[in-house]
Amino acid sequence: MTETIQEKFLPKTVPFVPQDIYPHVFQIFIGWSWDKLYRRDMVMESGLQFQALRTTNDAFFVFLMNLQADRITVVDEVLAHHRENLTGSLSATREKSWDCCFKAVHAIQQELKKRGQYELVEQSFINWALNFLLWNIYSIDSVSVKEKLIERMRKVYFSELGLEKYPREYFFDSNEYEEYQMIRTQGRLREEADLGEDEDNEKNFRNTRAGMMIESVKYILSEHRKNIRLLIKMAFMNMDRQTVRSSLGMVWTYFHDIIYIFVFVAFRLLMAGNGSVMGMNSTVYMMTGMIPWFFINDVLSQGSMAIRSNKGIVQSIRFSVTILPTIEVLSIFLKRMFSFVMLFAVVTAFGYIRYFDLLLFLYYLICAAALSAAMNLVISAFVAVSDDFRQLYDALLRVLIYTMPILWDFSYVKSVWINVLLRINPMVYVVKGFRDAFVLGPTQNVGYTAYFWGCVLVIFMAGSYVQDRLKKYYADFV
Amino acid sequence: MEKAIIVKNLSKNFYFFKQDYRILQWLFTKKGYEKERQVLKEISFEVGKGEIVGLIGVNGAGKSTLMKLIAGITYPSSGEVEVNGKVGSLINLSAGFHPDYTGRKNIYYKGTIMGMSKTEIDGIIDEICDFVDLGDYFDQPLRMYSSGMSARLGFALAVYSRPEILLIDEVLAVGDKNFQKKSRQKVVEMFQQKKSVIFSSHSDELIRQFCSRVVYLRGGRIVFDGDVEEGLLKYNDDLRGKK
Repeated sequence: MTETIQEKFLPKTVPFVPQDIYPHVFQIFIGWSWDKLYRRDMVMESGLQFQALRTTNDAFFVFLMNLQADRITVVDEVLAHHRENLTGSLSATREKSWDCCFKAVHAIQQELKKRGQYELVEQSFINWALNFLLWNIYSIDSVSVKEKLIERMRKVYFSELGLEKYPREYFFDSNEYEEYQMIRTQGRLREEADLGEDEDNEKNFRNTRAGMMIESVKYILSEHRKNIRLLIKMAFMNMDRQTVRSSLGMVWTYFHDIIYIFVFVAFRLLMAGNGSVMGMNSTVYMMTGMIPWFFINDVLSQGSMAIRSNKGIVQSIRFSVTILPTIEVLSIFLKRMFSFVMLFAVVTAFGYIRYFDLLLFLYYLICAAALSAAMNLVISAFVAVSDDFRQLYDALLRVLIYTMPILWDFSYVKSVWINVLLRINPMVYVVKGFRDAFVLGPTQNVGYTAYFWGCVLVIFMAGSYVQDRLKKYYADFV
Repeated sequence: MEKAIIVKNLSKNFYFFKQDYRILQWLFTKKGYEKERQVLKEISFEVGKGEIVGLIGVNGAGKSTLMKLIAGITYPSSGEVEVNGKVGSLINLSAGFHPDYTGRKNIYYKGTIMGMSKTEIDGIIDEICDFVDLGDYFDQPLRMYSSGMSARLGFALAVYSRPEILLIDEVLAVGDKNFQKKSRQKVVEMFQQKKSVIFSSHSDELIRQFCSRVVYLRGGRIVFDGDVEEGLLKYNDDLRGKK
């Protein structure tokens, strides 16, 4: 049985007659007709028709037929399906026929009175009427139409239906009763302010910096969720943006990487021979550090321009700009998938495959992605609006590779303080992690892991806050 | 009848900074700007479904800003904008295109950015191809196009994406005579389909031809909202007065 039938009110045996369900006849079944089958001769004899309304034209027919049927039965099989949320459907554009709900309700009431059946089903009807009218208000998106409907309810509909003579206990749902009273006395729906002191405190919290930050995080997450398909599509589309004109395309990116690694490896070999670092071949040491570095570096330099390089979109198209940084990160991620495969191949060739931990690798991949996405939220915001920031940032970026255990290892540093200082950078966790996945096995302790994820969380919150505050100004200042 | 566009007490401020980094100071402390200019001052008006409203005023009066606010591209400083229906903005036609993608690929690219699904774009790509009449150029990279050709592409996409509300910001004056003729024809077609339109133009003739009502924006305020002839008269008087 589906939610379109209130089973708790159904009689124990089927088929049954309308009298068996009088107390809840307006609650058991919904007023639409598409989940019901009627005997043709019964319909013709009844003289009942659909109302000539744009929406809610079936309620009159359905409810009155419920009352005059010879027999009613229910089946468990699903015989019909009902598509929801089609834009442009009559239901989805209810604001165009906002008064139809009352016309239907009123017509039913009149007909019941005419037939002398009103007293028999009065409570069920009144409860349904209120519930249905409220539902109509809620289902309308347009603010102006909503207000109009509420006004009309207050001034006309409630009294036409005679709602004022029923006490609170008459109503099955006390929330609906409260809402009815709110509309009747104050002409509006209940808001947070009316729901008690607890809500007041919540509002005060929201105005604090911490509260605003949580709101920002919620906002950013919801924007990402709403646009997830677009996000993924654009990430794939943007993958080859920088190399689309060339004939070799993305191959050039890998060519870049190979040259880079080659030069550093060759330099190292020339200067210091084929020594070993941390118990592994120095070449492998460097490579396992380089690959995550390429990814991080791309995010920090190319990714930071995510908003700025999309000036056209930001200034001229209605778009959820806060998802641009993440699109860029995902795009870089996809582009560099190949690098990871390449590294795997090289490390195998060097004979270190005896330890490859796929789980660790995937875990650190996730770490890299999470950290990059969080960082990019923050950085792309500032880069987008201030060129001074961008210049300073670019300069510092060049130095970054030397502060990480890629070209050299931290064990060379004697001072404890400098060691700690260098490890404050959460990217170090990722670089070390990749090395773990390919050669060493898990070496990072729980403390550092906790620190890393703490960093990601804090950076993400800061990034959300900044993006939320700046989103209104991108179109004006980029 | 429900309105297509409702603008209530809308204001928009722009800020100018002496040094680039001051903008960061302003974003978090609301201080540090050199100048503040209120481009729109408490604007209120409505556009009904199927209404074609002309928007007139000198350059800098705030017309483009108003269009951008209605299109949802930028945000109000105060007040509100309510829009009921899908908006097609003919404001900056070649924005969002990538110079290295072909015309065809750019339609898919920008169409996706505008929120259309691949199936939707598949459904209109042929119509667009016919309309823009670019021949072989349609499958050549955009950097080989003239500005008029890019404009045609942008125009076609905006128009064939089947918006219910059109915001036209002087784009009918862009491009060569052929494009102007074609775009005008297409726009007339859309007017006949009862779209709601805000039509910003410097051409009195076009305003007279298309609009049932005119809104005159001067110095960020609406100084007239009503009959087309009256509005145009007032506008032209002001222009002459300035000279």
